[in-house]
Amino acid sequence: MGLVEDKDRVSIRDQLGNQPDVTTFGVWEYTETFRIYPLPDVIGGANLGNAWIVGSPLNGIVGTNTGTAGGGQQVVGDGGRTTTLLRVVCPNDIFYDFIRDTVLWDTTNSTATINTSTHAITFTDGQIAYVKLHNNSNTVYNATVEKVGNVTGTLVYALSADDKAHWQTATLNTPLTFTNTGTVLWLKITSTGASTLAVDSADGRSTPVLVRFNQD
Amino acid sequence: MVLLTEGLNRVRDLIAADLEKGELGTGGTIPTSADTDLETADANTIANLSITKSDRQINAAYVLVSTSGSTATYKEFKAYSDTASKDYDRIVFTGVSFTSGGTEDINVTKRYFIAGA
Repeated sequence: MGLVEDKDRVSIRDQLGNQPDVTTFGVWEYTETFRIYPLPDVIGGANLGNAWIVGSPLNGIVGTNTGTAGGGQQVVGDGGRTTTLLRVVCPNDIFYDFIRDTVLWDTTNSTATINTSTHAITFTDGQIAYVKLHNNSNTVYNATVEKVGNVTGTLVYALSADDKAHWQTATLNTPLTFTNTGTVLWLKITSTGASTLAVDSADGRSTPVLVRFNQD
Repeated sequence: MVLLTEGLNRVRDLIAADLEKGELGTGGTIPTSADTDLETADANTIANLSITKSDRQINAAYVLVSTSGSTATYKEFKAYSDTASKDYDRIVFTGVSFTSGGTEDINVTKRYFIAGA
């Protein structure tokens, strides 16, 4: 009794011969995507300081006030402008930061080194980094620290919803309900020993600092 | 295969080139993706955006100088292309009082990061 060949085998042999180089048939589909992250919006106010600007009803402006800092071309005297951060608005109540700037990082009170060139924060033992997550008058009831970049070392996280008055320790990916609610949300990152928080990894991918809040 | 940083920065540049102007308004309705304008725009607040680019990130800064605008409580902002007449982004925030001819500017900074997913 002879060997019976099925139709597919015969068809393949007819097309590729008895010893085809191709032994596996498959379809590979490569997909790469990119994402546009809307980072927190920052709304601030800047006063004109003590400068005297010629022609202004209040500060004597001649022509157009172009928003130059105190001491600029049309400003007489040096008052300097003081900018106040009035609102921080996170789209969909999700905070993202990739450490490309220090707009929301508290560089005055942070003791860790925030490097916007390497997109990383380096800590020695006990050093702290603060970042403002939200300030838009609506009350924050809960929050979850979901990502903090790529960490080497040991970092401890804490959240405050009442503008740093009270802190609660946060565990990654564990929702935290605030005992002291408020409208100004901060994240505090403290290092035990030397640590590094880096947003970018060697493969070119980026892991942000990501905190969700009021996600009921 | 991986999306290269160079390519992502090209996407950044194309987006940045279209972010031309900003405008404030007094409407407080929560934004939706179907919005095509501010709820209550104030044409006196239209100003050019100042674009700063860093690795895969765009910072678009808007300043309403103290001598322009209207005396109002602003609650919304949009970033848009004047050339293409397209609005790209509308945000709503708790009102910020502004006095035209007063001593305070309003600054709004929009930031976007383009990441390979």
